[in-house]
Amino acid sequence: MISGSRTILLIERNDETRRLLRTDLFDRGYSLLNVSDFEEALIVTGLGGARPELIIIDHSETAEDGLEIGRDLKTQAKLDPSVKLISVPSKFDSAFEGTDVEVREGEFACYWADPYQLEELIARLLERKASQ
Amino acid sequence: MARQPDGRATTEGIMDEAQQNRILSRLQPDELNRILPRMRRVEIFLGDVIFRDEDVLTHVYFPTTCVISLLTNLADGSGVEVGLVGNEGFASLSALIGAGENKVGTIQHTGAAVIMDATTFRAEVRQRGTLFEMSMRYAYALSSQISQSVVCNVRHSIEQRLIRWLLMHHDRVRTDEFTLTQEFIAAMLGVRRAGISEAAKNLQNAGFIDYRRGHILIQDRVGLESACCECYAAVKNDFELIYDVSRAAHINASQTQ
Repeated sequence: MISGSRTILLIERNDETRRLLRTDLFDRGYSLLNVSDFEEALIVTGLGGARPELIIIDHSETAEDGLEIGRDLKTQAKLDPSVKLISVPSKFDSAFEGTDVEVREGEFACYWADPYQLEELIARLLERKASQ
Repeated sequence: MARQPDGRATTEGIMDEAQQNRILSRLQPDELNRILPRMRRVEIFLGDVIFRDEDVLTHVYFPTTCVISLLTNLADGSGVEVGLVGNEGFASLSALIGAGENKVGTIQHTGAAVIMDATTFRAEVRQRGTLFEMSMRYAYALSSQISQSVVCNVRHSIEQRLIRWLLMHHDRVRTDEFTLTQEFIAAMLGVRRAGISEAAKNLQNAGFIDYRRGHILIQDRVGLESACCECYAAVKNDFELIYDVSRAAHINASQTQ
């Protein structure tokens, strides 16, 4: 091992979700950086120099709001354009529950049903990248 | 889950980089030349996990500007920092014997390290030259750091523990401004975020630090040192004594007379 595992930046206020996600993702070989909001995410990636491969924006108002935060962060922190985004909106039409949608290339909306759905999406995205 | 460092590993300027690590800088020119072809410089980033418990390390990391946290994880995934490794040391001691790791190594501060494969490392240590000597000294110094942290965590207030941790971190990052999310510090010190928040506020009111979300500025290092418990100075002094080869040589000489 030369430079560690793939790092995921999680923008999320809910501590309990983070703890569960962190444990499961760590067991799968990822590392998680947790921040509360955009401002903190900008410090961690700017001054802190963190280089995540994937950014998850949890509890966004709508899927598009979350993706907008992710795009702004990528631009302002000068992150690699290939960094993937997953927006997990808190409110959505129940018809979408349990589905994932690739809104634009590398940008996903995850209509959360349970943690496993998100983990499965993360695995799919990062493993797809690794095999490219 | 190994990740190639995106072409950032390089042999260019490796000699200069090696001089920035307090162990590699002690090596004699012939010793350094012997392992130089096996060394590379890598950039590693905040949050990267460089090894996990049970991993058998394929590479040894000698930080030059990065800082590595050593964590012991519980079964529920929560981790507590048990040691901090900067340019005074290397990660990890398990490479000395090729055993499986019992800690998690995560990057606390983005920066560079010189890496060498574990086989070369062990072969050089077996030469019983400077790398052997310094590795033994470092192992003792790190055990001193860990045991003092245990005492501090049991006996001292959150505020004092936070000060100790800030000073230790400040020594290693060598800049006054660095990134620290409260959640990160809380995990490092094994206490709740609310407790850290209050302690940080007190230090800010005293004018020692400026703390904004995720961001620390050390404003009064001397003030922090004066407000700290004895644990920070004890570890720092231990390191200097243990690394002082001339002093140890003097003791050896007097014992053999």
